[in-house]
Amino acid sequence: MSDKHHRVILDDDVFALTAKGAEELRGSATSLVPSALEVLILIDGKSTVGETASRARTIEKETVAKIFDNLLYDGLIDFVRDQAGSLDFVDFFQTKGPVKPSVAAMAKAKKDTAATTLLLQQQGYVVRIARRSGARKKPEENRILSVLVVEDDPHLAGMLKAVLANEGFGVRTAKDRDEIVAAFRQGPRPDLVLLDVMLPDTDGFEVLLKMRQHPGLKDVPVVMLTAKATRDAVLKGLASGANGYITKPFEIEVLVTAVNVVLGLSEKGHAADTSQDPWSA
Amino acid sequence: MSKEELNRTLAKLRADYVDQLPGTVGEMEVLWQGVVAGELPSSKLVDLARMAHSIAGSGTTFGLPDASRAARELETFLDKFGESGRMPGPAEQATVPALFAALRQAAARH
Repeated sequence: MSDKHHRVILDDDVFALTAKGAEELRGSATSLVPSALEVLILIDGKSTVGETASRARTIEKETVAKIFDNLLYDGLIDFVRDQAGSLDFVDFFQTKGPVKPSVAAMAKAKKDTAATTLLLQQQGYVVRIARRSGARKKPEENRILSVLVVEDDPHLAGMLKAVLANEGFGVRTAKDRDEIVAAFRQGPRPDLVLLDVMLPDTDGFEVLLKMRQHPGLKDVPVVMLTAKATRDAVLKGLASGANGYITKPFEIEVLVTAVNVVLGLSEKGHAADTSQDPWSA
Repeated sequence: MSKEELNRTLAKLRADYVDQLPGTVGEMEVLWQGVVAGELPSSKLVDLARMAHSIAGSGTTFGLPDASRAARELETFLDKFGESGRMPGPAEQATVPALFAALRQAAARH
């Protein structure tokens, strides 16, 4: 793994020049390569990655995100937080919206579990579901993907953090509403959320539904990790937009595999073969 | 983090978990006794069910499958009352000591 702290950069991520970045532009000499300098100029104070890529003349679109990543690492640009309509989390839990999945979504979840390759394993309290998120782009090599672990049990949270960090992920944890909102506000947007259901002042289904209604979070893959193992709970999670559902108690290997499958990675970090169901063995 | 470091971290987390579990079970029993004695509101059964739920979900992961099973039984019992707000009747209350005893034993076994 590279020492550099790489992240997944998305087209709709918004960046602004930092004071260091502005100084770099104003200075009479620069150590930046021409393409990085061009991106700094195109950001022009504040811009999304997609907008910058569309205006870039001499840089391949695929390269722009990598340049953003390097500029971010070098402290020349930073994420713009709390943009209205994009990354505003002030009212995350107060916004009105459906408090449960729609009838149609529940029907689709039932159909999915019954008729597609998605395999529902129910052995007592064990349920393991993981489906690759279609919304995410394949991450570039050497990027550290970030996982937000929402778990109120400090021992489990610590274990998840250690295991996922050991797998090369950047891990943040949150145990209640305030910490969830703080984690989202802090940015950058997590690449995946591991979401417990029973939390002290909210529940994971509510968090999931709020995320799916939020313009900045609706595409973030979510794996429910919970001791709520009833069929109704599983279907509710899937109908609410969960990409995976793992019931506690769980095995570490199962968890790591699910995270990799949902992110489109194999257990060793390469693109997954989606023709194979990881739970069918 | 090397494999050895990870194993050390996990071993410490497990040891911490095992160390605190008897105390947590003790707190649960005090909570239950307070509700039964009328010193605490029946709504505390929801908190109690949450604590049982937490152990049910974490025990096996930290090497205590018996604790998970015992906590699951307790949670299943408590869920019937937490959702309805109804207090367990005398006959139902009489089943609880055995549930706590199983959980206490499982927590103290390591």
